[in-house]
Amino acid sequence: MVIVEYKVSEEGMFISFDAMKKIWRRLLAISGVKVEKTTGKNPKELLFFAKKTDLGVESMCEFVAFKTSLSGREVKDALENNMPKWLTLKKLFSKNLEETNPFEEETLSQYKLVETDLDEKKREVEDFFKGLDEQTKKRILTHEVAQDCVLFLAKDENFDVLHFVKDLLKALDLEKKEYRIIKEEAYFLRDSQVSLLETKFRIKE
Amino acid sequence: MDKTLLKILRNVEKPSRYVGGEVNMYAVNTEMRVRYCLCYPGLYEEGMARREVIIPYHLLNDRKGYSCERCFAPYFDMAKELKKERYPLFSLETKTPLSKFDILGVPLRSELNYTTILYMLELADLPYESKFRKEEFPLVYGFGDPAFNPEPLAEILDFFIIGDFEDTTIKVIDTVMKCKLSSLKKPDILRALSSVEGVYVPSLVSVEFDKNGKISRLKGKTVKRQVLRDLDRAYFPTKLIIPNENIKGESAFVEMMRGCDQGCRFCQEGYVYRPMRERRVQTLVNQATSQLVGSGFDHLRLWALESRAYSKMNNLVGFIDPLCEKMGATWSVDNLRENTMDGDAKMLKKSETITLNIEAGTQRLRNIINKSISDSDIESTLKNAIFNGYTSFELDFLIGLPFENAEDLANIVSIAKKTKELYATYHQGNKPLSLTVKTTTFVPKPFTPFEFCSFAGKKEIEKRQTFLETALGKIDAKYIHDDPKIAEIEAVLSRGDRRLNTFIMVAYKRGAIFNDPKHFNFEAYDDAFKITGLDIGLFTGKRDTKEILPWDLVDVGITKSFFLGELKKAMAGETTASCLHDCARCGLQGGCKYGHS
Repeated sequence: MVIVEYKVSEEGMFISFDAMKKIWRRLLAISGVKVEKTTGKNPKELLFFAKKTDLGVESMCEFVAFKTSLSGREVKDALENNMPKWLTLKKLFSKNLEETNPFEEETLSQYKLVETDLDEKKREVEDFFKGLDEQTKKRILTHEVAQDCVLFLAKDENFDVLHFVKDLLKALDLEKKEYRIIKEEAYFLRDSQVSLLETKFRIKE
Repeated sequence: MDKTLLKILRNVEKPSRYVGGEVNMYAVNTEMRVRYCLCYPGLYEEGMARREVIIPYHLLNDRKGYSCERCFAPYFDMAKELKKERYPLFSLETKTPLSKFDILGVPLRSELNYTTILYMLELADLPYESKFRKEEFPLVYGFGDPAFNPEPLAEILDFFIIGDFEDTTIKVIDTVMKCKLSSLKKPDILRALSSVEGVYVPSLVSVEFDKNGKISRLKGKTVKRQVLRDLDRAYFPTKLIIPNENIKGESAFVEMMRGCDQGCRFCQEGYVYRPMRERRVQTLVNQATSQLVGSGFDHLRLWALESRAYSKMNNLVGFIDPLCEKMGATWSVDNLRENTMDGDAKMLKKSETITLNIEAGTQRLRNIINKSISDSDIESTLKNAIFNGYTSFELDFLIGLPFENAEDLANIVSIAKKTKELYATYHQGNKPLSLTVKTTTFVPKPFTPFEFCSFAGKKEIEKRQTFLETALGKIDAKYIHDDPKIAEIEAVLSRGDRRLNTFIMVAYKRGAIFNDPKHFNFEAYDDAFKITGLDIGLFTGKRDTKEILPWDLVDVGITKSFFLGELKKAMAGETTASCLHDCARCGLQGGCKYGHS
């Protein structure tokens, strides 16, 4: 099973989950990546998707997994020429899974704060992340200021998102701005190279 | 993407309709001398499956020195946001406002889309009427089947392409480019365009009406329909865009042939795309392979107006079937006349429901409309399908046909009954029969023998539908039908003249935008009739055979005397054989390998 970690931006963030599944299926087909099927009377493609994030939100990492005879490297080479500009391959790795959906293993909670325009404060956001204490830094795997939101990947589910966001808003001098937190479900890979909880937020003016 | 657009997209239900950036989308050069945008007057998911969008889009972008962008009508929520933010309608590729293009090409799918064109123009901050769009605005033109009668849009669109659009589109862009280089004014550009074969410029046509509301004088240049003589060598796309939305019926498709040999007297396409022209099997197989490989489809459609007429069908199926199997794809044949279905039914094997386009209930009426299908054809087709395991049947008919009577309607019910009896006798197994009878209201169209006939009228159609609903209900057959009120508006717009321009503008202003039954705004059209004072009967009524018709300056190659002869034959219940068997002497000049012309 090849697991692909990818990032969606620009036009891609407005594509529905159902359409995204079709696009991935067709992308693999035009790239010559043959996805294997289940055995039996009604064979189904061994192609699995982790739940997509909300429409209109850039993502830092999403996942698709499929069974193929190709290696992760070969899949990457095949896909690269056909990728639309809003879809970026981040990492590809192989897992020894037969016909199991790797994304059904565990579900964690994800929080996000909704609103826009953080990219104008890119510098301040960077400074905030640089200035985090060592303990928190270890828990934040990576972060990114996207077109209109800040994305960060936190390592464990006990991470106090609310507290962290409040600190960030304070650092950005956005304390008095109105914002709301939406709770949503996100999947993560248990035994893969990275076990993640993806958290994103935007700040409402 | 700018912030206002991001904000707009976050507030609409299906933002992916408006973002572009699809897999296989062309990178567009914004430095082109002539910037061209296709503006489909319908939603993204509808337009992205249409040949009228797919072919010109790929044709221009695959050609060096040309580029083409796309724009689709936004849904109400998007229109509201665009207006709220004062953000003009834009192209998907580069998000350029439509007003910044040089040419906007409008694929005219149906007459009912006319008000949607105004909706798009308004959202693009463009004046509705051609005369108010000066040099700083793009030229807006229409092409497709409804363009065969351009007059209802004469004051809205600047010009029209009549017939096969492929070569003419290139000539139009070249002409506009030359005119722009010479800094010509719009009237001069239109004059230059009128010299391009197949281009109809309504501002160069004058129309006068008599006191009875009939056309008394139609003055202008006659425009000849354009015909792609060598279809086999004509451009066809090989790598299609993968849309950002899931689209019903999304598939690879190849066009086996253009035109039709049958001469069904109600069918405009059957006449205006004569002569019948085919692509070679090898060409089709190559195109199918490229599309399946280049676009990752899992289904292939073999398309033609009348697929049974494709002379090398068995040969083509012999290649397509293993090709699709190898590529893990399914395939189907569009517009198949099942009345000649043979025993093996190989061509039908992928569809679950078998649809029989019977069109009329009695042999008498089928002769009148020149539909070459007999009662025994229907029976043997049904038997064959039942033997082949089909359990779901759809029987399609037209109602409101000229010379239709009560017996024709009663016989529709008899055919449904017969289907049930045959199923009970020949079906092996326990699966119950699924039987649907579908009727569509006949609308008389220009360039058919019935162009002189009247529209049956919505009340009369409703009466006939009620009869069928009751009678079919008694035998447990499902009955579906269209809305005769929509058909009536289509009848008005199909055979209308330039007085309808104001009518269309008023209807739009009163709220007529999309044309599907869910959104169709009858009150808006009713109001438009009241406000403009136009008599609906002028457009839906019977036409005198000597009358000047609004489309008389369009020459499709078939003579008026042929259509009149066909009408006489219809009245006498006589049929005309397929072009493949006997030339009907329709008047087509050259290019027809079957006839004498």
